[in-house]
Amino acid sequence: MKIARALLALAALSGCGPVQSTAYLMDAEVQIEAARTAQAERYAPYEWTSANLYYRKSKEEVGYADFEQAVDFAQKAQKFAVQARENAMKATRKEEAPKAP
Amino acid sequence: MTRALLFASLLAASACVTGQQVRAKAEVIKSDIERARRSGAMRCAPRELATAEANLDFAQGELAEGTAARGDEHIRDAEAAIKKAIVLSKDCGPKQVTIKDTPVVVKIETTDKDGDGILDKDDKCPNLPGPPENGGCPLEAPKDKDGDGILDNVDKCVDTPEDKDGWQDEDGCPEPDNDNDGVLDGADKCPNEPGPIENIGCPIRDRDGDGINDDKDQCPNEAEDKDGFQDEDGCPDLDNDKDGLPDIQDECPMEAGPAELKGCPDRDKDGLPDKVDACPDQPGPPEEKGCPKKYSLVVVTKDKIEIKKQIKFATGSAKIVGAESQTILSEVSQALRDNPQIKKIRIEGHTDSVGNDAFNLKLSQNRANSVMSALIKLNVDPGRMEAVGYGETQPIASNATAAGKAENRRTEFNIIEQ
Repeated sequence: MKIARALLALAALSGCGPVQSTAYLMDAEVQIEAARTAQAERYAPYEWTSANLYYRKSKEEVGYADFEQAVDFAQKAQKFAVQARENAMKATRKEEAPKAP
Repeated sequence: MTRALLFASLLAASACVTGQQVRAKAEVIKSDIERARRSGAMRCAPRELATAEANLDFAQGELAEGTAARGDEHIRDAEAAIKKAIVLSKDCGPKQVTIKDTPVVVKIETTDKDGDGILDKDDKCPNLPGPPENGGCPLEAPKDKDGDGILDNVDKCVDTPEDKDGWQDEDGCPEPDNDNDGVLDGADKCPNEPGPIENIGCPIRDRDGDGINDDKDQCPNEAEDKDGFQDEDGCPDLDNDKDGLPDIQDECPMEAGPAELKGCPDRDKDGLPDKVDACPDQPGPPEEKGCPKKYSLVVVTKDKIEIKKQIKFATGSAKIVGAESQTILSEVSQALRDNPQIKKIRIEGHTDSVGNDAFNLKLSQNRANSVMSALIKLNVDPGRMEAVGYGETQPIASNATAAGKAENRRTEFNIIEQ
């Protein structure tokens, strides 16, 4: 995260597309890993799928050197990953909560 | 060259058609996505729905970038995904499950029939509203065992009714003696103010704060002055000796005296108040501390200036003779000066019975006049004197003896005003 922020700061200063998109992608990756830990694949499949699709597409756009799109998709990937993690955690809590008599 | 141009225009034309087609397909997929969502795809086909939406987004992004071919690939992926999602969502609604003959309805419980804010699935009394602390069931209405109108849940004395006398009526407990003075309220004239039973439960006050309670204070609104004079009655005594001078100005507040002597008495009227008068019953000048001046031939008493020896006159005449007579007159004149309180004296001339009465009367008058003249000469104010001849009418001894006659022949200086 610290590296990502440093890269973001650097990118903001430099206005460099590759650096910026890489930073967002790293953030998205971190959030996706967090969602995975929360079992988002099982408990938040919609958000989990979206996050992964956007992440892959973002990387693809980097390959095409379309950094603007790459940043846009990386941000979306990150957003979905965060939602996936939150929803998964909620669902886990509900499942673990004792049922009313 | 012509062939090359033709190829390029064909390629461009084909690309334009692809872009339009992609946009049209995108619109169809968009509506399919909405339909699938309505059918519950979010629940029954979340992955397919997500794939369709994401690919639609990608396609639109590619179209915006002018890469329709890549956009078309995403459209196809989206199309496949949304079709799958629609199929999976067809049978997505909640199901009713029947076990043997008893139908068991599986519902997602979100109802709150009694509207108490607790969902029916968590509500112990789903048809009766009640607070959460009671599991959604209504609280039992509190009773009022003693019937005093104060419900038992707030009544500190549930079995004893409140007396409702305006004193702490909220606690539900009766207070038979509100002021706790030992006099029950029924007999207490002042039930909310403590007071002794002898005052019917009312407090004994001391309105003027003089330390004498009102029941014994003859002047309850005027504070006693406590100056040692009739301090028990509670009334202030502003002029204890009633001499007309208020005590605060009176140097002798317990003894009446004139204002010129600051309210202090002067029994001998020598102008010196008794309290500083060494001889309060004998007039005397201040230099003698109020005691009579020690004269050799004269003594000033309360009512007269006594002379120890008699003034001598020539026989049958009013002429004063002898040095001793002059000394006596001189001391009398001095005594009058030393005692200004003596306002007036009467110089009395008396004779013995020798000779006829008229002569004696005239002689005595002449002799009294002669003495008065002599005193005037000695600077005594004539207004302080009068001369009266009594002749032989007021003997003080027997005229039968020579000694008695000598005593009767006399001059007296009686004080008649002071």
